[in-house]
Amino acid sequence: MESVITVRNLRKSYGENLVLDGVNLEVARGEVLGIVGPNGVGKSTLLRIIAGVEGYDSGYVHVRGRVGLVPQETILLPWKTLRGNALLAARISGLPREVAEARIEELADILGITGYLDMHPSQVSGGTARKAQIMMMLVLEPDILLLDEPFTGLDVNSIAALQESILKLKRKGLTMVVVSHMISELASIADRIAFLTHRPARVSRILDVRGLSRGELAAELFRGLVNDEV
Amino acid sequence: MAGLLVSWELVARAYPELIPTPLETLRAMGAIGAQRILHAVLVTLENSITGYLVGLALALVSVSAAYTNRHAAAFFDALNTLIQSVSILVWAIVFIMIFGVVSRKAPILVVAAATYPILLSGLFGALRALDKRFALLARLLGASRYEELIHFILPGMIPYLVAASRSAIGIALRISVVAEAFGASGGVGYWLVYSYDVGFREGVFAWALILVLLMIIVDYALLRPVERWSMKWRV
Repeated sequence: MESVITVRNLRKSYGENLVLDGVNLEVARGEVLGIVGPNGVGKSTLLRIIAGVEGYDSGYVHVRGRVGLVPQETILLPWKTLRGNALLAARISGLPREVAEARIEELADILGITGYLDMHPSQVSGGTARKAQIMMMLVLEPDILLLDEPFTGLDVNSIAALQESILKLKRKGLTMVVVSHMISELASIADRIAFLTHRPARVSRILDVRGLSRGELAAELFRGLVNDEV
Repeated sequence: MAGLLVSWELVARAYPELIPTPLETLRAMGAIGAQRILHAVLVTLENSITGYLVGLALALVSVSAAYTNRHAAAFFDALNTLIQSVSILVWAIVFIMIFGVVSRKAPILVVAAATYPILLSGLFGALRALDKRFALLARLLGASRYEELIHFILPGMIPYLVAASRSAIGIALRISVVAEAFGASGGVGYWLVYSYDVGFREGVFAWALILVLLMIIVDYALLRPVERWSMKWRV
């Protein structure tokens, strides 16, 4: 299958602090790749590099298509409704308003937030706000969606609803890279999971979770844990 | 309020040659007449609001320039310090020397000079608080620096601007009266000093009371509701 993200021998440091040390990754079109690793290991840095909003020291990063990055912290404009936030994103990207409005309705339906579109961020739950942030990025019609810790800070119901939304996007063929330290949540949406080692981070192995039974999956994830990967 | 009135009455009775009673002050208001009071209040409000708007326009231009250019940021930071270090009395005398005692420009510009640093400091504070989060979102959406300023930064500053404006408009009213006192523009400050000059003791207190009432009305009827409305813009 065609690779839409290729990362080879990626190195990134902040001053003398080496964060990423020779990271290698391939992401195929339509695939959902999960990236797990301990807190602060450099997962978010890796996503920002792939998104092109942060530079790197050496290596090779090639991305085919437009990328949308959903940041770890939900950032919505509090003076606009959820619809208004998405419309602003569309306006900046140059999308005609009628097209944008139709797309927002479609995305809101997929994400299950149609009833909240005319509410302000302060009036909705953290899970709905997170979905609105995803909608804001999807309005830009990216070929690849990068999600940074999408489940952090959400309650169990919100996590389940968000997982369902991500699976719907996956069925529509959207390529996604999802970074999380919540491995079980990630396992239920990803096709493959890349394990990042402690700093300086590198990919220790990539686990294909497609077709694995729950028992096999648990055993593989346990192997990751005892290998000090997570 | 009742406690204040009783205290005023007691002090006035203790010093009858210096301080009029509340009743004498109200009678003086009646003698001045509603038409003259209304005219003076409108002149003072106009001077204050126009001066505030000039200060606001300058502060918005300054902060926009500071956001897009770091040399401009250093310049306006230094200018802010300089303007704050100059006494309002100096501004009042200088502007009256330039524009004359009858012109309304002097009190307006004095108010602008007094409100500009307050508004600019508030906006600089907002810029520091908002910059990173909204700048990141703007970058993720592919916004230009201009779009970032117009759609993310300036609207995000509104609650900070409203809070700074509440202080600035309060100061604008007080400063406008001082500037009017030096000139002959016909505002509350002018009539207050005129009453003093002609020895109309009750008149001085009447105009002072009018000013206090004006500030309370503006605060409760305008500034507090606007500040409450702006809270929904808070992050």
